[in-house]
Amino acid sequence: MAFNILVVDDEQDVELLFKQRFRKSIREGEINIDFAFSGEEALAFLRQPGSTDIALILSDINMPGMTGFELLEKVKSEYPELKVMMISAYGDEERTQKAMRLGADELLAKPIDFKKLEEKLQGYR
Amino acid sequence: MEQMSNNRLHISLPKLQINLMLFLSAFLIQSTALNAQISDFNSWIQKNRITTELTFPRFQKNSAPLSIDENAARKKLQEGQKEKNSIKTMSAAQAIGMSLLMKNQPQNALPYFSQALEVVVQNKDIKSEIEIFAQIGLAYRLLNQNEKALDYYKKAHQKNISKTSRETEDYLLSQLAQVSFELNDLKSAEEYFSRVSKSFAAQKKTTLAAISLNSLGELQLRNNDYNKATESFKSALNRASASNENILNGIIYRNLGLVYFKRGKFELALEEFNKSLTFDNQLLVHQLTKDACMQLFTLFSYQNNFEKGDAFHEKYIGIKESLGKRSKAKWSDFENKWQAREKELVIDLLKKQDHNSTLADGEQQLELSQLITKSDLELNQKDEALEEKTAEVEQLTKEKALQQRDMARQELQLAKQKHFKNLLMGLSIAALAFLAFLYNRYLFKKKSNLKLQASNIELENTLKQLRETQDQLLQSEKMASLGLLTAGIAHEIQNPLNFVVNFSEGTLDILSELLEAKSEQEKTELAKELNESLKKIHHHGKRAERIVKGMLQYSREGSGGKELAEINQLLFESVNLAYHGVRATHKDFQCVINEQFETQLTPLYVIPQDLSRVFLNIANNAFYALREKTGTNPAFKSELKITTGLKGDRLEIRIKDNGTGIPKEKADKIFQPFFTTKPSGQGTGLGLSMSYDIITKLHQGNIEIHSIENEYTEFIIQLPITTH
Repeated sequence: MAFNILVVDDEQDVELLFKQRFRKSIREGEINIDFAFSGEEALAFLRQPGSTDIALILSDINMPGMTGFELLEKVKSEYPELKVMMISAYGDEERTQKAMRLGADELLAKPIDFKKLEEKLQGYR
Repeated sequence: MEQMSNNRLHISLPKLQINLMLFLSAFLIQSTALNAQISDFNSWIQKNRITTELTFPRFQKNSAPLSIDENAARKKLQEGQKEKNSIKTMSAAQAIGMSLLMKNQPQNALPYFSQALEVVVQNKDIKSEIEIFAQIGLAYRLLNQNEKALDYYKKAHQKNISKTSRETEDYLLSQLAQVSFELNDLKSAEEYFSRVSKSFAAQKKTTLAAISLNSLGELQLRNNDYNKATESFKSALNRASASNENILNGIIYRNLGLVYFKRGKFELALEEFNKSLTFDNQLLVHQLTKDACMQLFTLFSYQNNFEKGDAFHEKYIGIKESLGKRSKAKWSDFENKWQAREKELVIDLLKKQDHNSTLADGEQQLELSQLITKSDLELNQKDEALEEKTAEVEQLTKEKALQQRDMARQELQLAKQKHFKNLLMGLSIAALAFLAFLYNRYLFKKKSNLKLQASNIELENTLKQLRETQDQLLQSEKMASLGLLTAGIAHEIQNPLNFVVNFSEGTLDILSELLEAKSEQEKTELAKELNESLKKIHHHGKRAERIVKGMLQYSREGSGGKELAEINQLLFESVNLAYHGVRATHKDFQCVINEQFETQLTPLYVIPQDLSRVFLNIANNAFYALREKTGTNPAFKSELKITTGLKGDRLEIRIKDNGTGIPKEKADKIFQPFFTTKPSGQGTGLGLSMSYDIITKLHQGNIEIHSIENEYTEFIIQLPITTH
């Protein structure tokens, strides 16, 4: 069974990037990636029927409208079992603390190290 | 014998005039009132004007010289020598000497005085001896040999003074006072002035008493002896007010004002200056009033008392403008020189002689502004640019405006002097105005004997100097806001970098797959992906480049030349840069930026760096206002709308935020230098005034602000459409 991931980022190019970097795993049906381009979109996606099989959310922090932190807070209260990894260009202590306090499972710095990310995904499966 | 004494009288007449003139130097330069003062002393000083010309060749005036018939005197001298009539010889020699003095030939006069002196010594004529000593003293003064002059005046004064007239004694005392003062022997000068003023007072010569008391006060002020100086000026006023001497009253009130000014009590100084102006409408006193207003504006602004500060700023601007008009009026050469001399005197009075003396609050501030020289200023600015930057960095980490303001206040009390430097820098355009005045006065001093041509060159230099300093100031302002932006940019670059790094790694994967691909279809597909991936790398690489370029453009020294630029892109990038900057320090801050751009716009001929600074400044202010509003209402949605559109032959750029807005009375002042609504330390108050200059002066455009409190603020910029 495929491991379902939802990537949330306001930059459209992340779709191509993730699809390219995970091309083998996707081709072999190991993982499946959905994309949302804002926090609001991500919540709408989760709330629609049939999306309950998402196991992990990868979300950017700085987004217009709903921020990654707001999304994290909502997701953790509505779907406490759902794993959430935050991604930020600002790898400072304050943000890390805040992400952890809000229940994030991991905080990744930009530029994303995809090898590391893949290892982490293995851990979650 | 009677004939002879008449001759004597004739000689002593101009002599005493000259001596008195030297004593009255500070006042008797002015034309009309002095005649009245003189007649009060003695009727024989009526024709003083020649002596002014003689003793102060700088102050040339049109006057009929009082002439001594030198030829007749020379004839008399020959006769006297032939007749061996020592008294005739003496009086003739004295007359020739005086005539030569009046022709400003003191060197030639000296031998004749020596000749006369020989006779009086033989005859033991003490009264004449005293007079001749004084005449020799005068000759040395005209030769600028004050030490020798002092010797002779002392010799004269040490003789049995009771043998001579009261007038002679008074003038000797006043000469001694004046020369001691010029030789910087302030203690003796004070003593002599004090004695002569008492003597005049006892004789009920009120105007002269007032004049000497004023001189005494000036000396005490120069000596930082404020209490005594105030006392002297007040008793001078007591006597002067009985007279109709407007100039004298004006000067004494001005000097009283100077005491307060030097003590840093600018409000009290203003009162006195205003009184002075009711007597005598002097340009110099207007300038002093202007300086006092500027000082008060600076002080109140620094204490965050903007209401009072602004009131003084308005006064300052008002005086400045009226002075601008006034100085266009043509001054007579004499008036110019008189003004220059009085300025020189005022500068001298305000100079601090003793740096170690303990000064009351505020006085040190004045000292600073007074003593700043050209190189000090440059040094100061370099220091300050650094300090300002450090302060900004501190702010980035602390983010606690109130705390910092309190700290600043506390430090202000603890180390007022040090902080005034900061203030001075922060407000140094203000100081510059003052310094320009000081520097100008300094120039005045230097060139009082030079011709108009030379003065033009110096004026140009001053202007150049000012421009350079202003450029430095602009640069430090830029660096300060750059500090804010840098952190944001460093982080913002991570986004495109993320794509560049990861797409390039992905490209390598695709490439190795491509090399192993068997079917044509697979190869075509992989090649397509490769192409797409490389395009993304290029795109995001360019994006990073733009961010860095924007930053460099912002920090580049000086203003570049005009070139064709896409205004839409410039606006968009500047606003984004500002947004990155805010988000770097205020992580939760979010704002929706709506663009509505004119699509039919050709590139305009502008100075891109300067224009982008204007956009940045406005956007920074907008984000500040939006953050403020978010702080009080977390549910509030920040929005910034940037619009460009054609309005006739102009391009209109609108930047509108739905932040806290600004009340009308503040909006009216928003383009004034140093006006800021931000807590102290958070804004220099220069950003928008610079923006104003950039738009109106460098681009011939105009800029307006529209705002409704708690609803919105909108800046509207119009630029002429120039494409070459």
